[in-house]
Formats: sequence, C-alpha cells, structure tokens
Amino acid sequence: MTENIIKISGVTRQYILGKTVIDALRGIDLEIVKGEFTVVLGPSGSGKSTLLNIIGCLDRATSGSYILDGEEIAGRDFNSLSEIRNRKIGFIFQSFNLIPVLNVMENIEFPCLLRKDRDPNLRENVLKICEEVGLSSFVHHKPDELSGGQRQRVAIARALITSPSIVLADEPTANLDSKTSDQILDLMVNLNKNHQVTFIFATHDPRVMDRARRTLRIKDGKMETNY
Amino acid sequence: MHPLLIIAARNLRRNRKRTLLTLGALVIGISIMMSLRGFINAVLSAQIDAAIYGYTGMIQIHKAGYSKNVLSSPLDQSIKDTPELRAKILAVPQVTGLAPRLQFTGLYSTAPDSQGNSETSFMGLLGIDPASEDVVAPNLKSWTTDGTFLSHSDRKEIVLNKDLAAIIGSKINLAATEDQWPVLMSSDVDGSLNGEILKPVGLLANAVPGDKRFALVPLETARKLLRMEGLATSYLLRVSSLAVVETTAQNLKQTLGPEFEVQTWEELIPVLKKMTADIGRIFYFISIAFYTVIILGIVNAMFMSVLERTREIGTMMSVGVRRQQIVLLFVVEGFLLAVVGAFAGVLAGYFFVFLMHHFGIPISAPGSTFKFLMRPTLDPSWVLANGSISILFTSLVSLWPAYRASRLDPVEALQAT
Repeated sequence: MTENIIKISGVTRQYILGKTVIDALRGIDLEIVKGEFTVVLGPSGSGKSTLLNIIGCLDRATSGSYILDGEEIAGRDFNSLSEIRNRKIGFIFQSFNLIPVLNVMENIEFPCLLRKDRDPNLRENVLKICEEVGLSSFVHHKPDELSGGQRQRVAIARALITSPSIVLADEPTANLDSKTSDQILDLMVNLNKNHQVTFIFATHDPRVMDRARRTLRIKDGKMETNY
Repeated sequence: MHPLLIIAARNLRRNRKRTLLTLGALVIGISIMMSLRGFINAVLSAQIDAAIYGYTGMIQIHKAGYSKNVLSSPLDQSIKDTPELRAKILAVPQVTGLAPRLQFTGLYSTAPDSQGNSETSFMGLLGIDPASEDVVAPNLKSWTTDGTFLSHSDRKEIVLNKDLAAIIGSKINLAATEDQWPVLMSSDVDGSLNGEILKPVGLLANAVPGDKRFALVPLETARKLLRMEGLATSYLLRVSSLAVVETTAQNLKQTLGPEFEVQTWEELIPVLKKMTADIGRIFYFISIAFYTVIILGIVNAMFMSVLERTREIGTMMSVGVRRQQIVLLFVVEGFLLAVVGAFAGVLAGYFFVFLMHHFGIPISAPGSTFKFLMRPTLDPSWVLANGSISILFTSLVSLWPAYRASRLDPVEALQAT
C-alpha cells in the first residue's frame, strides 16, 4: 500500500497588503506518496512558490489542513515549524544557499548539529553522502572554492543528510549549465530511486519535467492539473 | 564547538574591514577613556599630594576647640609640645612622623628704601621645624622657587609666598645686611605686640589654591616672637599610607582622649573630597555620552551585517535554526567583538597611560603657579570594571540587531538578493 507523505486539504493563503486582500492559494487539495518525483508547474504569480513554501513549512496556510508524514502542520508556531524543517524537510535552492564561512563538510552536517540528539556516526554519514554526490575530494573546501555544480551537490547532500521525508527543490538547475544540470538531475533521480527520497520540484526546466513521474500545474491559486 | 559559535567567529573574519572598523571604534573609545581617567587621576592626585605632603599633613592634632576658635584666638588653643606627648602619639600604630606647627598672623614691614618708604602687609604665618616638615610635609620645601628654604628651627629667617613678595616689593638678597631686612610683628599670647627682624631667604610658589598672604618662619623663632616657648597650635602627622588615615585617626582619638581634636586631611580640606566626587560624576556622564556614540556605531555596523546576510539567515531558518539561535548567533558576534575590542582597548589605554606616566605632564593645579609633573595612573579595578562594562553593553546592544534578524520572515529572507 502506498504511503501518503503529504496530504493537503482545502489550503488557502491570503496576503493582506494595506486594504487589498490577495488570494495566493484558493483551496488546494493534494496528496503525495513517499518516493514520488513531482514537478510543480505554473506561471509567475500562479501560487506555485506559495504552495512550495507552505509544503516546506516556511510559510503558514491561512486555512485548511496540511499533514506531513502523519503530523498536522497547521497551527504550529515558528519554533515547532523549525523543528519540522530540520527533521522532515530538505531544501535545494536555485542559488545553492550554502553558508559561506563553513566548508563542505560543515555545511552538510550543519542541520544535524542543530539537534540536541546528535548522531554519533554523523561524520561517517557525511563522508558517505559526500562520496555519493561526488564531493569526496572537496570536503574541506569553502563554497567559494567550488563550481556551481559542486555547490549544488553540497546543497543536495545537506538536504539529504537528515534523511528527510521530502526534498523541495526550487529551480535547482537554473544557475547551472546544461551538462551540469543533467548530472545534477541524474543524481537526484538516482537518489529518488535508490533511497526512495521524495522530491518536489518547482521549475520551468524541460529536462526536469522529462524526468518527473508526476506533474502538478497551478494557475491563479488553484490546482489546474494533477496527474 | 556549536556550529553557530563557529559561524559567529568566522563571520568576524569574513568582513575584515567592518570588523576592524568596529574594533577600532571600541579600541579608540576605551583607550581614550582610560587616558582621560589616568589624566584626571593625576590631576586629583597632584592636588591631594600637594595638600597632604605640603600643607595639611595626613592628620592634624589640635587642642579641643581649636577648629571653632582658630579665627578668633588661635594662640589660646595651643598644646604643650612635650617629648611625652610626642612619644604617645608616635606610639600609635601606623604613625610614622610628627611635625609641630605654630599658626599665627602678623604684620610684615620691609626695610625703608632710600626715600625712607617701606611697605607693610598683613599675613598668615606658620612656624615650622624644617627637619620635622621634611618627614611629614616634604613637598613644602620643594615649592621654593627663589633662594633657599628655612635652614633651621631657630634661625631668624622667613620664606614668603612669591606673589605676596611681588606685591610688597620684598627682594631675596642673600648678601643683604641686617639693616636691610624686614621686620615681622605679631601680638603674643598675652596681646603684647612683639617684633623680630628676619632675613628673607626664599620664595614659595602657590602650589595649593588659597590665600597668597602667607609666609613661613622657623618654629623656635615664632615661639620667641609670640612668647610661646614649648607650645604648638598643631601637630601634623604622617602615617604609613593614605588607606590607613581613617583608622589611625580613630586610634589617635582613643589614645589622646577628649582634650584633643584629631582631623584627617579630608576633614581639613573638604573641598578636595567634594572636587574628587564632582569630577567623578562629570567623568561618569562623559563616559556615558562617549560610549553611547561608540555603541551606536557598533549597532549600526551589526545592522549592516544583518542586512547583508539576510538570505543566509533565511537559509539557516530553512534548515531548522530557531529564532533564539539566530539571536544567539549575533549576540555571540557582538560579544566576541566586544571582548577583542575591550582587550585591545585596555592594552592601548595602558600603553598611552604608561607613556604619559613615563614622560610626565607638566601642569599647574587650578589656582596655583607651581608646575607639577603629573604622572597619570590607573586603578586596575577601575580598568577591569570599565572593560567589563564595555563588553556587557556591547553584547547587550547587539541584542537589538540580533532580535531584528531573528524576526525576519524566512520566505522574504530567502528571496533577499
């Protein structure tokens, strides 16, 4: 039986700008099962980023229910959402978003070091994941000593080190050349296949769409296509 | 080490220019305040030293009632200067020296000039024993600017205040014959007017603010003039250090009983104590104003840092850093800056104070014409407190930008350029 990792029902998100109320999401229903490789598509202003921010617990829905890995997210405070992000969600950003003063190994292990219960095998796990993403020779390099592709590999490793329930990737190939983009996408596809990591992409890159097993299309804050 | 502490420390190295500027503000601020404090300490110390070691001694003993009657009939309030009384006083722990003095007033009249004119002036006088004064008030001798100091307790000599001498046209002429010497007249203890011809041997600078109508004569000469052999109006005492003045004064009161008055230098010149307190208060307000400006500069630099690292803060939030941890990150940065800045500032401050102490600063105390060579010093406990307060306040004010950073919206922070 397939396990729902995400279950969203009737989620809305309103922004109030002075006297104007903007409905960014107008009742989204969505279920994503563990191990899916999903792409969210939509034009600028469609609500795609808002949906991803809510799924990533960076933003909170105005109404509706969001259950992530069996836990209700709605109504939680900032620190509780921080805890959820740390344990259940990995992020891969368009601009890599590494911490510039930390080297590759420190960047990757950073989310785990925020926890009170630290894994005694953390360094071992970091080295293993570095090998998997092809960074074994760069563990002591600082981000500014790496290429764009290498930086994105660090971001992928950082997203995966906590064994998250989902990994959200926002335009992960936008700042990479096509060859590097292919390598990065192949890496994510392999991780998805080998480790059943659930990936959710927000992208316009056709190469990502080609590899996706499911595509969601959002328009005007509503789910237009869900297949 | 916690990764946030590593990030905080490394961030200071990351933007070296800003860190150095911020540290520079702290170092300059702390070192200037230390130098100023050292300078003020030197001014106060010079004033107090001049008063204690040249004028009042550390403690004075008088006959009971002297303070109340000193202006009307000081000579009636004399004490018998006996070896037994001196021995009793010198036996009190911490007392290291004793000098008897005879305080009186007199008329000083210069010898007539070629036209037969002379100048007469009223003045306050002290009869002193130069040898005893060397122990109790050694600075007095050092204020001699012209001629010499009194040579012996029973010589017919007089040392005049320099300004007074200028006004009455009295000259220091060591070769002058006795007929050119002035005469000092004073009413003795019975009210009879007596006179004594004295040789002006030296002039004294105004080292202590006060009446310039002032002169010194040898103690035995004064006693003969006043018909007060074996008497003194006061004993000046020296004790082992300023710190034991108060307790020694209490011991002396117990030893001597109600027949005598015992006063410390603070009681004798209350204006000095008040001046020290007033300067302390003024310095306190200057410090607050100065540090406020410096600290606002540091806060501004930290706000700039928050602004530049907004996306980094968003990234940290995305991987699970809590708001309190963001606060901690920036407060640690502020604390590290403060510790390094305070340490370097204290070192620089000590260096400046050391230079000023080593070379000395020639300066006159207010109201005096005598130039002191001031040597600034610092109380280590004040330096420790000053450094600690700088660290505490810099860390505390870093809470402001830290709080602002922690309140950033993660979505907006991640979108920052």
